[in-house]
Amino acid sequence: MSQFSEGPIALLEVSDVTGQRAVDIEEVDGDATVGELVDRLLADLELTRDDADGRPITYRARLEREGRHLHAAERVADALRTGDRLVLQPNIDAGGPADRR
Amino acid sequence: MADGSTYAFGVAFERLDGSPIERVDLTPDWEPARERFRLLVAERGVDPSVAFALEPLVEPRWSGLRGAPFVSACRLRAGDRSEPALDLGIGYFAGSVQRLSSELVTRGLLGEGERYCATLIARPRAEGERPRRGALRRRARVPIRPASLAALERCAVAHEDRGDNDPLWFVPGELLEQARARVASERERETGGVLVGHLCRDPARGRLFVLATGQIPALAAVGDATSLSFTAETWTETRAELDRRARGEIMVGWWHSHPVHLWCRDCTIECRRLCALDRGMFSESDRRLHRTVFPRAFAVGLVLSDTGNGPPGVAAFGWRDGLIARRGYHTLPEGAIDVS
Repeated sequence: MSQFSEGPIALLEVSDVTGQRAVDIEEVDGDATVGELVDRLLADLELTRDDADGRPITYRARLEREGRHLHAAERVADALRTGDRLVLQPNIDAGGPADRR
Repeated sequence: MADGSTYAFGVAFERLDGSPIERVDLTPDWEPARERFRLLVAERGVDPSVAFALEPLVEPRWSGLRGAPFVSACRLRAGDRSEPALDLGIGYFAGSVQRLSSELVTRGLLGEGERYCATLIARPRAEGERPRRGALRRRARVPIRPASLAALERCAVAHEDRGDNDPLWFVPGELLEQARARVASERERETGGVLVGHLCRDPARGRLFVLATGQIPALAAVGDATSLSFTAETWTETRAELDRRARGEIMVGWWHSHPVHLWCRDCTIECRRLCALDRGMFSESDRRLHRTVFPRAFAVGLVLSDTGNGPPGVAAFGWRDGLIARRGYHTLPEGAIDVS
């Protein structure tokens, strides 16, 4: 049972790691998982899904209010409150030429 | 990747005699082009919170020779069709066309090494076919500071000045020395950091430029001889340091090292003399990271190539008309600005 709210969460601010681009999400399904929410937000923020080798990039959602990364399996209604701010952070590699790996 | 165009795009592959091979759907990554457009608008003095949140329309310019559905270029412009407009040549799609042609080879529709003609095609999307965009309120936080370009140009040294229209990029020499010192202490693995500074406008010339004012080492990034992983913790620490500095800086790019001396230790001197690795290169992974984290048209990625032959050389890469390209930069002498 959610300690905060049931049903949809209203108005989240979600930004990329630079903080230069953000979107206000007006309604989120409280029954969705954080992983499902992040998947939706990638398109909203125009973030790339795959790395240079075509493998999916892992994004973690950092909840500013609690200063922690949310788990993908957490339920949105359990983790988020209206007015929360999330930052989507990729685990992504730079590196040398592929044929050297 | 979301595609807000009211047109669906594709590529018509044809043999050199004009016979058709196949028409393939194309979902271009419009975002780098949109960013170039936004920078153009910001250069015209539009409030950056407006300019950098614009969602320009993408429209095909039909081929003068063949007419619709064949496309000679794509034009980006604001929804009210006001100026400016940004025209994208076919080169913008070259990477996608190459990937699609490889798939045709895999499927046996195109022979290995066979020459072909690829032409961009487009058709209007039906109403229900248009991807969802615009239902969100987008925010852009890219402050622009007034600053004198002439004062910087008087003391700056140009590197790889390519005479193009890229926004000028100024980086203090001390900042590069800080990065070189980190490379020297991490010679067996890649290392890097985030460049911070300001997007500036010269009020007299109306020109935008970037002034880097510091680098935040990516201490939580995990490096080895051929890769550097920027983890979620890396971004958290970078953000915390940026907040701690409290100078109103924004992230303007990133840097990382290539330990070429490890990659090329078995190569001959002649081979290394001709090798692009010695001169600095942006790998596919580097390009992907730049696109993912630094899509703003003014952002730059610096590569410090540690060849083992003197101090690491610096090469700069950034956005040019929506594509990543090697670019020039300017260094500032010690003391020109505070980079502590």
